[in-house]
Amino acid sequence: MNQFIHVQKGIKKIMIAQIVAIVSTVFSSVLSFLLLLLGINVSSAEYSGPELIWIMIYAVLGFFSVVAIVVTMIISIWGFLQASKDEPEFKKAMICTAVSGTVLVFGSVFHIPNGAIYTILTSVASIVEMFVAIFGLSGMIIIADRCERSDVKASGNFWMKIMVLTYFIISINALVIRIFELSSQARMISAIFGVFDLVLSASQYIIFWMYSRKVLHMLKHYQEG
Amino acid sequence: MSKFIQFLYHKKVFLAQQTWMVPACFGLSCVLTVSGVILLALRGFEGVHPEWMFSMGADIFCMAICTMLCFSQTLNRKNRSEDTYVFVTLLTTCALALFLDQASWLVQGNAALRYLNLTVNVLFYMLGSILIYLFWKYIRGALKLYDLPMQIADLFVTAMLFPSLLLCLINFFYPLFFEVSAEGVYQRAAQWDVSQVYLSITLAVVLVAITFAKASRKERLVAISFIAIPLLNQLLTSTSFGISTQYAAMTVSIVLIYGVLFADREKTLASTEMELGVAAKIQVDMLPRSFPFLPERPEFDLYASMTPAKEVGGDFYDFFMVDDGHLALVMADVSGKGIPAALYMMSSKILIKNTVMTGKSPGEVLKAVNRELCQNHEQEMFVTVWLGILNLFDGTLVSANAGHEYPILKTPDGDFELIKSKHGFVLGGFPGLKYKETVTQLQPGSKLFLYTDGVPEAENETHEQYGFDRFLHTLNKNRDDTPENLLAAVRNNVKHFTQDHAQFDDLTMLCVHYRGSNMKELTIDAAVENIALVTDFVTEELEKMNCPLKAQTQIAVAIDELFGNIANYAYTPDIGKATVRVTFEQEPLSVIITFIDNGKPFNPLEQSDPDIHASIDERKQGGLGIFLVKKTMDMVEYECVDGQNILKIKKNLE
Repeated sequence: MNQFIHVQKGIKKIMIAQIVAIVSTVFSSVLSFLLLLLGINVSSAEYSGPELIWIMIYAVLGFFSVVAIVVTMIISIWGFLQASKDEPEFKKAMICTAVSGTVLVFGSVFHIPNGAIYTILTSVASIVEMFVAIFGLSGMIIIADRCERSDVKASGNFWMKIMVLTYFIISINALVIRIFELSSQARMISAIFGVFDLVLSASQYIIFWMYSRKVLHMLKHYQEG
Repeated sequence: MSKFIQFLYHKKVFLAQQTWMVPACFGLSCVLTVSGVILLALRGFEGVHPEWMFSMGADIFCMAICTMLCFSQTLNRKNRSEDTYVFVTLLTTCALALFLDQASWLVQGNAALRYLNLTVNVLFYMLGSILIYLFWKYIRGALKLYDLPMQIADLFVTAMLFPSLLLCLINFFYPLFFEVSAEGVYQRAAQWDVSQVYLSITLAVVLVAITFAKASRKERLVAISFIAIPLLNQLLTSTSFGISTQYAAMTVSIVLIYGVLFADREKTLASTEMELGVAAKIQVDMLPRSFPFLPERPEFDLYASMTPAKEVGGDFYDFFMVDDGHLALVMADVSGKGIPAALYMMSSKILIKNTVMTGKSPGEVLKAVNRELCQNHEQEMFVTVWLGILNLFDGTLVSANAGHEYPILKTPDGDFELIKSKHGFVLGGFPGLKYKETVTQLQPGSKLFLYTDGVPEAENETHEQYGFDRFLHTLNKNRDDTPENLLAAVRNNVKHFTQDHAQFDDLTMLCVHYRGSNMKELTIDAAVENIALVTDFVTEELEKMNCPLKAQTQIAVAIDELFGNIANYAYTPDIGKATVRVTFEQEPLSVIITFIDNGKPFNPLEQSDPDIHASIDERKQGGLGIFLVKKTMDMVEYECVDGQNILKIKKNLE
């Protein structure tokens, strides 16, 4: 039985993309956290001495971060496109991935010159990313339903709600970070929330990755009959 | 937690059903518009920059538009839905935002009104979040975005509203988004962009929802315009302090939404209403409504009613005499609503009646009708049917059930109870199905109650169903009432239970009170040797009524003549069946004997009477027997109905 062969291949690619995204997120978040701790304001127009070195490191790693985002985006789109041959719901996730990635890359360009546009665009990208997760999980839930696996379906519904809850907390987090980061006194608070943000973001990718693995196992057993 | 959410849901439903909301919103919009004009007049134009005048002018103009749209919704009472209330709330909130925008310019630069300036701007920012939230709600309702991803997105947007409003309130104490200087001048703060986050994420949710909604391109473009027009306005005016036409731009979008989405919906509603009107007329016209049905038949009393729901369903009932001694009862429920259900109902009803009239038993009728429905109907509709044929003479009820509700029966000395007889599958589902028959013996005084699922499944505001317990309790409370009063009692009880909650299904009921029959019937071979049997049968009944001997003798002679004629001539050379019925009438006490056969049509009354005054030689042969019958009986009638010879004789016994 080769009924869900495209979904299987697609999910495998999405899982690879998730791993790249986890690494990229951890990396860039750690760097931002360090910059916050060191009191270096990326938006500032004047840098001196050691600050300049850190800014250059940030810029280079920022570039790689953008590259990682693009790579993640391409692999995810490829994976969702392949999976959508068996289940159309994945097409929505694919479109949202493209939009989210584009907005994120565009927003990153504004990070230094205009923090306001950066804030808005990253908020939008975050929400569209939420829909990537929702539609991606929704597609896998539908596959579980078609395979008559109510346990996997119920698990998917549960993790979808958890995922949205984490996005909600991340959104609140982002507001708090933005409010406190401009104040030198509150930078530590901002940094703590930044760590919390990092943990939540990483957990989202892990949740998605683990559920994808569960669905892959389910499909493997389904194929075996 | 779930009880709390349920409470909030019912509060929402409660608010949505309050008809005062629309006129109240209209009133508020009026007040805001007039106040805006008055405040501007009172303040005067001193110190007002031309850009501020432009903004305030746009605000007043758009408030007037919001007021007029609210007014149109106030007049349009008939077609209000939950979306109407959201739309009107959206309009009023927009009008309020416009008023606050105007007010902020009126107090700008006035040191004495610094705190008023602060308050107005805080409310202005809060309304921005509320407005975009209301727009999301409206679009969700208009585009029917109710699947799981959108439900979750809705929860997210609702949850994010509260921190957004809280951050706006913080501005009273700390200049988070803006500050108002001691001179009363407003300016944006460093974290002003945070105020746009909720707006941005909700707009992102709306864009995703619109992109994937199952809506026409026109609807999607109009919905996107709500975002595009204010966004375009923002891009054009953001660099210029003094021109704040964001909400004016939003009003333009709302008008566009109203013009396209709403007007489209009104057109669809009007066309649907017309369709429903036609469907309702078909349904009502098809149902027999003339009561009492056959009042001259003392064996039964019958009443039926159908109270239609707002959206016409396909419930129907039917009752008709199959022949002189058999009453057919039908209770049915067609799947679906509107004109298709009404037409399916019509064809099912006609099919059932025509098939019953061919003489088939209930099970055979349902089998034949099912075959017909499966062959000729492609809409994938079906109908549940309970069909019964009641023998009025002996109370035997033969019934068959195709997926319908169980009938309720009350014995003469007992209570109303559900009769859980065998169920077949619905009609129109699968071809070739058979339907088992159930035979029930009704005693005189029994009551049979038929209904559709609209009765037990009627819901109140908390979505609790009426249920069978309440149903049976109501019937038993009024067990001795006539069928008409029983139906009224159930109807009133259901209405009392549901209160103002809209009835979503038809309430269809039929009740038969079987009184029993004093008619006795004998069907026997029409043979000469059976004349004695027939005479004994009739005599036995006559003796029960203390019939005088003379009358008995005359009747015996009449039977001898009439049954003898049937035996000798009706089926010659074959032998067929003949039925003899005996019925008694009171005041005066009389007996009616009916002879029924399916032989050659013959009216014995057409024969001319013999000349009894002529001599035996001159007199023609034959006719004397009939003459005697005519003379001794008080009434002799003949009719031929559907090939049956029916001859009735009546004799007073007093």
